[in-house]
Amino acid sequence: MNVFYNIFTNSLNLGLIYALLGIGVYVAYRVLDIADLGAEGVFPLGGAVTVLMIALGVPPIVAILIAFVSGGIMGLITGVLHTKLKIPSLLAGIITMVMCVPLAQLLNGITSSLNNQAKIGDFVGSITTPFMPTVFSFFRSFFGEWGYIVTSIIVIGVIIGALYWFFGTELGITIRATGKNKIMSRAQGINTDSRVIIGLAISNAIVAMSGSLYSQLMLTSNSIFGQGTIVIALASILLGEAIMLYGKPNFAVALLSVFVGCFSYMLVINLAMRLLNDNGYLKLVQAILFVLILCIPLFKKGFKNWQKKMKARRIDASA
Amino acid sequence: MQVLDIINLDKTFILDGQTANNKHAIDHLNLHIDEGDFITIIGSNGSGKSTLLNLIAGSIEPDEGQILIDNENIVAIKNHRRSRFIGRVFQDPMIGTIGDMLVEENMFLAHRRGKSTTLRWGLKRNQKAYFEDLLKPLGLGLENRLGERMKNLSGGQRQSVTLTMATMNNPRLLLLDEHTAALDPETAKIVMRITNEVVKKAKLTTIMVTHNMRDAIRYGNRLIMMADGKVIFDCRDEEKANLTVEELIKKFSEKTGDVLPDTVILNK
Amino acid sequence: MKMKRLLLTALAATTMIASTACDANKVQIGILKFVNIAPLNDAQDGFVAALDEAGIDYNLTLKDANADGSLVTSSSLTLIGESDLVLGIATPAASGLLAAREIKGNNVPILFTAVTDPVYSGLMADDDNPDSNITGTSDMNPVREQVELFTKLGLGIDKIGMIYCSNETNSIVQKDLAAAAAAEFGLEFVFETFSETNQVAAAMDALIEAEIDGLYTPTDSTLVSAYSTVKAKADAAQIPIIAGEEACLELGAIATLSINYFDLGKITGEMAVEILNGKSISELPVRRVEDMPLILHVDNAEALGITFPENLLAEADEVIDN
Repeated sequence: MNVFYNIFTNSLNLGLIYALLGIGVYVAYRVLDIADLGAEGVFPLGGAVTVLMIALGVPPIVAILIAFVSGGIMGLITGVLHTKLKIPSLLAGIITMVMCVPLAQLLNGITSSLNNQAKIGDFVGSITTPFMPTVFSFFRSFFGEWGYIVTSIIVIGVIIGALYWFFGTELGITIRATGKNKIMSRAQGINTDSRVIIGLAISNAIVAMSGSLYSQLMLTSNSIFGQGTIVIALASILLGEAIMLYGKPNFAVALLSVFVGCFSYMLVINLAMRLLNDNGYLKLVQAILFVLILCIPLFKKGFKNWQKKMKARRIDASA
Repeated sequence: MQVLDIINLDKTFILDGQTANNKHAIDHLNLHIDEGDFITIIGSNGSGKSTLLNLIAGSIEPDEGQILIDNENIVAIKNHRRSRFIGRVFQDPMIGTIGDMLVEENMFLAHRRGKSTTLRWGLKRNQKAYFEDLLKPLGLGLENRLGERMKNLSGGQRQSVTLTMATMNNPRLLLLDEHTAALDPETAKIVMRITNEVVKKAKLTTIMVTHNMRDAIRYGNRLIMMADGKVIFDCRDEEKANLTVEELIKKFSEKTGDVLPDTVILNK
Repeated sequence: MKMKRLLLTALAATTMIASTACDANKVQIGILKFVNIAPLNDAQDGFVAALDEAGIDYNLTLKDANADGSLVTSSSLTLIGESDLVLGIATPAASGLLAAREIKGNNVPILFTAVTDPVYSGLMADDDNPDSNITGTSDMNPVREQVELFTKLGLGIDKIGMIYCSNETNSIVQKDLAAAAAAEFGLEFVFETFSETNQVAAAMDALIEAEIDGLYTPTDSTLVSAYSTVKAKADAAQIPIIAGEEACLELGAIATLSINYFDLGKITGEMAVEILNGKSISELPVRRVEDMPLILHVDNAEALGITFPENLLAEADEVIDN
């Protein structure tokens, strides 16, 4: 049953890292009600920052924090573009995403210049660093492959805990209020502009952190690895809500549901990959899966209506 | 003591670029409101009543004129800052509160209005008792429902909570924008009663826009009728108390040469 | 819930189907191809041909990552976990497999092909001494010899432009080699880069303004996808193009020394056979194709009013003349 074990561990490994991405996107998408596409650029940027920092000798954990801050700055930019320059949020996110790509490549160029393979100022698309120390190294020495999973669980746990605390503070509650009802928030004296900016900063910071973990997992910084991350994040959020959320549970459970959704999504993708010999069809499968996930609320409703009909029929029959 | 001075206020809405289609919503309006006044404003649709409230609250900016509160021109102050001294209840119960959040969370937001935001944990335990004390006098049993989501409450209950939230920090001015219009007649009566009690008890300076001429006559100490962005009729105290609906309708036709639309007349 | 039970049964069924694909006695070979384009497909075919020729009894799992990063990751993890030997076609695939092996912690031998410079790409420290259980073949085109071709045209070309995509690490490697060749042959080189295909036209304009008399196009997949723009600009200024790869000849270049990707793949396959038969990877340095035929496109040259010198035509392994 080697195959089943591999499907499980691979899905868990990647699922945890993409779940962190999903949680970052969740803060923007569900809490602030903003679809921020900047994540596609910030994810690989986090990777580029991390690889450079580690190449400079910075300890991996500090590199993650620096990547976190860099994502925060990007989120700030998106926020300012949207609130102060009145650019629609969709475009603001895209602008940030477009900015991140050359930025990541410049950082890669600097990393490359450290082994004299490029000069500072060169744009380098991708870097592979197979022998760099990573945040995973510690637990890997004890648990092997599971060390990666343990490390990711710890990181996600810390982030979920921090978010749960933060959104219960005064500042956090006002950010949540802004996302739910801007008019009412302003009527209650909340500066909604500053809340949007802070919220987007936090969202992108977490996305950059997940990109940092990803680059340490795959030992590479490649600016194209951001493509498709938004789809994975949204699929995780929606699938998680469909599976786990009945009514409106508390914030921590909602964040956990993102992980459940991500893990399930990865499982299905991995399974599909086994059945399809040519991954060329996998993208099609991903798209269809995404549509199915989006339709789950519809199916649920239809199922409930069908149940009601059946009940009514039984009552009629017995009458 | 004059709480609110509106001097030469003017606002035109540009609809589609053709000057002929511009809407001159507020036409060089002047208004003075004393401390403790409870003013009802009536007028047909498009007379500028809601625009006036929006200008005072700061959701729109005037083209000309000044709005003075306690002799300070507030036109330059952003709307979220004005909420420190202005309380608002909107017509739509959904806008005034956040349905997905708990009743106590909503009240918490109103409670910290005007204070600086910290990273301290929101919703402290002693606040709950305070909120209960605020909701008890309404007589709707809402003090027992602080832990429920706001959307579980009916429209009238939500408006009552919004009213409490708007008056919590003793605002200089309370703005009520047809706040019972979306409620059924029974509930509207209850909310109006509560409004009257709250305003009287705290002696709040209040402006209430309403479509209901009976309410306009019955409540408050001063009545203003608007048409085409201007004040066309302003009466107070005894003269107001002796008004009848028929007289009001007549007055409107006299002043404007128009007839009040059926929707307003039927809303007796 | 009935729904849940149905889903679980489906899950179990597919897992069983998937696991029967593993036959314990055959050699499990995994191939990860970065993207479905001709040179990579040829390399894959060559690799498989070598395995067949040697009579190896194998089970092949092929994954095509479709140039998608997340697919590279998932596919790498899958293949490393379940193969006795893996092949990565193109650098992102190879690096993905390397990282996956780090994660899984097993010691599966990794081979790569269609990687221009494995050391530059970070896959290994020394391509003559593979010490980390990874080796393969390099498709490094003979930049020096290709640049040298400009001197053999008999046209007195001494200022050469080179355009490439800044995102492609392999292009940067070729740029450095071209610069070295320029120094060796006493030529002047002007470089222009772009990062997106819509910037190609502007880069070409800059080169033409610098008054180049020849253009060198390296092996660079992004550049190739915008080749028509390059050719149009070069034609307008009557500038001949010498290309890094054969595919560019029909796109307008006049000459090249080519690499046959099928042969490249076959050499890689032969290395795989040696490993399966017990040879240690440390004894298998990175290999390249030996034969690099000189190909001249007479039609494209004539369209620019250029005639190849007789001795060059005699040297050529292939002449395209319709």
